[in-house]
Amino acid sequence: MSNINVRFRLNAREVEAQTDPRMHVIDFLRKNFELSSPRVGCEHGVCGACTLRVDGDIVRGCLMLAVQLEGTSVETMEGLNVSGEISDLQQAFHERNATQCGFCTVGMLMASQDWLSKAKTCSRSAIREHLSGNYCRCTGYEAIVDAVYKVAIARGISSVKEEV
Amino acid sequence: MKSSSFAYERPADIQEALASKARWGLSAKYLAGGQSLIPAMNMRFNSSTCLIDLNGIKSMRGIREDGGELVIGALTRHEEVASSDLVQKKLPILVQASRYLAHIAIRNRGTFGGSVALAHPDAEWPAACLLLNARMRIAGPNGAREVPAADFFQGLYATALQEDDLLESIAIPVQSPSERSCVLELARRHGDFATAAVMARAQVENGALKNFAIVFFAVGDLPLCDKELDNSIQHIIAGGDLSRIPDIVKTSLMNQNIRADLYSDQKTKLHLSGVLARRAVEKLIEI
Repeated sequence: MSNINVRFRLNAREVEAQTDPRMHVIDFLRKNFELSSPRVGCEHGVCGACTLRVDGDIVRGCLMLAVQLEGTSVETMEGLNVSGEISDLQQAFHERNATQCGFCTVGMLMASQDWLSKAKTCSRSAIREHLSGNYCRCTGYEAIVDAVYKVAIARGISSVKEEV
Repeated sequence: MKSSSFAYERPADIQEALASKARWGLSAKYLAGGQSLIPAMNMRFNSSTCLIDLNGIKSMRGIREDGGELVIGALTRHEEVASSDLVQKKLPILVQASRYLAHIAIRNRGTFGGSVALAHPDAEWPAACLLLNARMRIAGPNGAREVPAADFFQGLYATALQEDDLLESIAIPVQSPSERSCVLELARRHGDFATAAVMARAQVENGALKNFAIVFFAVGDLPLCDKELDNSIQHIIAGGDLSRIPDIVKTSLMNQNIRADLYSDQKTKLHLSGVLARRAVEKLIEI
């Protein structure tokens, strides 16, 4: 099929590239812009490793077509690294050893920051619920929840009693 | 795990979308949120000569109040429904249901109409549409028409939508302030499709529950309701012995085509449906 031109904002920079309609966002970002943070995981929306931000909302990169990026603003971990938006969260992941093999980490950080930026109160169960769409096959969930919880408290999100 | 090739069109309005579909014919598909279609295409369960991307059609997105109804544009994202103040006020059961609906990254992208048109047997919105007597507003080559939810869902992934039809919006009568509702699901992981699930509603009159209605989903080929069962449960509520509910639920559902899944056989699904129905009634009484 003939390629389609796509113009969008990628990590605060205006960019443009050609894509085959069938290509999803993750392959597109990896192949055309040499970004390695968006992971190619299950490619059917189950694992969450491809989570990135489009127009401020987290989405599954594998379930969105590259042509649909036209006119959007995309943020990947490379962009967040530069802006420093989640340096406290990254530090907490490091300290708590919440990164094991590292494959899920980018998606976990994206989903965690999404929760941290919206949460009004903080509980471990709320964190788990929000991260339920992200698999860690090292099964290091406990450490990940620890890290996110610590950052939530440090950012002033008030802790509430766990719902059983 | 990559989709086969397809052409891509992005119509600006409904007429353009219908024209596009007429031009490409049978093997072209409408693309709404893509949270079911794209995985199916990536896994090559599904293929298409052309995807007609509806996301540029602004008139198909948003929620408005019209008389005693909320009209939800087919392209309204799950999360827009879940976080809408209007929905919280007029159709709180949709907000209750959205707690079970997939994961946040999926909810940000998936659409209300996409879920209804796909008619996945385990999905929340088709069940809600059936329970709430929604009407589907459909655009087609021969003009617009409306189909009530009870006639719309016809079988496993089968709906009243014809080949060239486009689901434009869903009109749902609002819940009255004296209505109570409840959604319960059992799933192995939060946000996954359920093993068994129910949605129930009832009016409160002088402290008593009236007009009880319940829909079972994630157990059959489509969301299931049964007026006679509703009446029987209503009768039990009046009598007060709720322990009878699971048995009459099982008896009623046994007449339906209950579908086993990878983890649970028909017996388990019947049992869990009965348990959930009783819990739903208890919850409606307690609230």
